[in-house]
Amino acid sequence: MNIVYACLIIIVNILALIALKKLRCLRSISQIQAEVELEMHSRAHQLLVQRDRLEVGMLKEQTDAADEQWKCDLAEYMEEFEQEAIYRAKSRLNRV
Amino acid sequence: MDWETMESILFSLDKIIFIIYFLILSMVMLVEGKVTSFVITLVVLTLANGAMTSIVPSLYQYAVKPGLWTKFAWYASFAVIDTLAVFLLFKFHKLLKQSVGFIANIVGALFVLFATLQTVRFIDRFVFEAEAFQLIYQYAIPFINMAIVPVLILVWLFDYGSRQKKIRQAVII
Repeated sequence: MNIVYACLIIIVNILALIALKKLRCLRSISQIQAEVELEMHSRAHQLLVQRDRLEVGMLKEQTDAADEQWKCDLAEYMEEFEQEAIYRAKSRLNRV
Repeated sequence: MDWETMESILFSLDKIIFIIYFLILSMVMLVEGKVTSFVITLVVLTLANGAMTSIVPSLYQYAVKPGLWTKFAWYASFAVIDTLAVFLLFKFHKLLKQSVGFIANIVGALFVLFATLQTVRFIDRFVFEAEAFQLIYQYAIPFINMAIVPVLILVWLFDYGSRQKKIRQAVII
């Protein structure tokens, strides 16, 4: 009978460990999101600075071209970071 | 100091710790004014501590009766509350879409440690019939419970301070 009770309490303990694993997994997801958000924010800031520099002292045609180039860069970086987030989630959360 | 005196002190400590958690939770809610990982952790700690404090007197009266089931009820009840606490930590973070903070991670691990101590002590006492973990069980749980309080306050003050600093820097930029 002692063994049966011991097994029951061990099961409770295992459930606690499973809950902790889920909590840690959620923490990893939060960290990945935070990392990607930080990188995206930093890159977007660089793009804004880049556009400001391009606009200063330029003719109308050149400004339009620079603006177009900036939009392309922004779309490219957005796509890049989206892919990066998916890749990191897959590589680091493969246990989910 | 006999065991009964020790128990009465430990039981009263539990009540004091529960009141401290409640006060910290109220203060943090007033200052933060929003749901954070720290607030969720405090809510779960207060709930779990309150549940344990409220069941201890009746559970103790039941556990002193003869029979293995009564002893199992004592250890398993605490292990179940610890398990539910970790599950609530996870569920609240998920439902409220909050990032799991450093302190939530630590408190989750501590709840698992408490549940493990209950399991190990039960097996030690009733399967191996040894008393190898008696002292650890007797003193570790109240000691860790007391130690969490200053750690919580320090972590919150540090976290709150760093967030305020970031906000000030953002305003300057």
